[in-house]
Amino acid sequence: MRLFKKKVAPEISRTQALQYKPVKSGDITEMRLESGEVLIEYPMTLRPLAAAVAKRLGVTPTTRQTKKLQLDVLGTTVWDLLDGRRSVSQIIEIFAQTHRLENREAEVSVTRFIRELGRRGLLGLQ
Amino acid sequence: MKACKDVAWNSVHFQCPSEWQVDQIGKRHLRLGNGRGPVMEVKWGPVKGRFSHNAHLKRLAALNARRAKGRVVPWTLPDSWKAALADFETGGFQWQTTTAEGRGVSLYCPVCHNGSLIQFFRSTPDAAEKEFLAVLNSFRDHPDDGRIVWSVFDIRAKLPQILQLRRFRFDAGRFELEFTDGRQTIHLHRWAPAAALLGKGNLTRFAGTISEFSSGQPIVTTVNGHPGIQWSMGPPAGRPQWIVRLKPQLSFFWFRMWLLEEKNRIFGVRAASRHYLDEDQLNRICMDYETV
Repeated sequence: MRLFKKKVAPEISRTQALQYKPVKSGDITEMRLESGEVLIEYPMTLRPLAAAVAKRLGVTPTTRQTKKLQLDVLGTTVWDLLDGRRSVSQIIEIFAQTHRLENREAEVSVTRFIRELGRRGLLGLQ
Repeated sequence: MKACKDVAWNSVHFQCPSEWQVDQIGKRHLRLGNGRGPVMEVKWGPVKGRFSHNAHLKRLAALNARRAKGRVVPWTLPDSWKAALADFETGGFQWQTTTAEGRGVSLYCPVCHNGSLIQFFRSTPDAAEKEFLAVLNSFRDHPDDGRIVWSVFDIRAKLPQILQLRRFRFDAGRFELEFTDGRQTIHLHRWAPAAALLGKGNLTRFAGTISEFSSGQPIVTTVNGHPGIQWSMGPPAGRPQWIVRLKPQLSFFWFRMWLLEEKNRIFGVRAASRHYLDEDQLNRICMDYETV
């Protein structure tokens, strides 16, 4: 018997996924470095288990814990394209044109980057 | 037929619509899609002994057991397909599942003794019969001049048939193909986008950041009319050849890297061997290694 029900992720097609519009999180601060690259500062989120333990122990963090992430040139190009209005497919197209890449190669790079930013809670898809 | 492009991989060579892209790639397997789903698949390999279409069909049915068991059935090829594949011994098949259907042909080439299996998926209704026929018309499974063309994604190379593909990787921004003929290994590299990778540096600095290219002293040169660097390394002078050959490690290394500024790509070729490297052969490989 299964104790914990496995979460089933909603299945969406590739075409549908590419129509989503990435939106930057409101909790982050971004800074432009001299090199033109972007430095993002974002709040650290406690893992659910760690958060529950801290709550039980009555530990409340006094200062807001943050992490920093510096994007490279390619990451900065994609980051600058995230305006909440462009879809993932539009971003891929612009990225491919800017760097003279094949669409397929650009798609792999951009989607991997967006997924990574999403995992860190820096953006969401709408 | 719309604009078409060459797809060539491990002896197999054909033309397909330019919007078809390689979705899956193996040493002897290609699956192409058009962005909305798979369109075509081809598998091939050497056949030992006699070739039987029925045995091939049974194997195919077993391979597709999960998806389409019992649904792979023989199919009579239309005359247009037979004419397009006149150089091969052919046998048709078709299959159907709840979500997709397809038909294809198993081929046997009496010249090179290769067996191939080509199938077209019909889950994409816009895949036109004309396009399928054009693929079959252009399909070749062995080179005529002893040099194999490799043309996938945006790279194209032509290598002597003796060089066998050992491994490959196609990562975003970085491609690498490794070939060997038993005496030497030759690697083809491609990096993109060059402008972002180079930044304010040059090729020498970039080479220093790639572990496989980081040793040795690059010399600035021109490769196929493009700015490049080249260098080689060998065993210390004066050491007898037989000692060099007995050493388990490779002793001769050759590197070349060049920048295709207008295409925003960096190409690299490197070779390693226990024997002297054939520089003429390497020069020819570099000359035939390009972006499309």
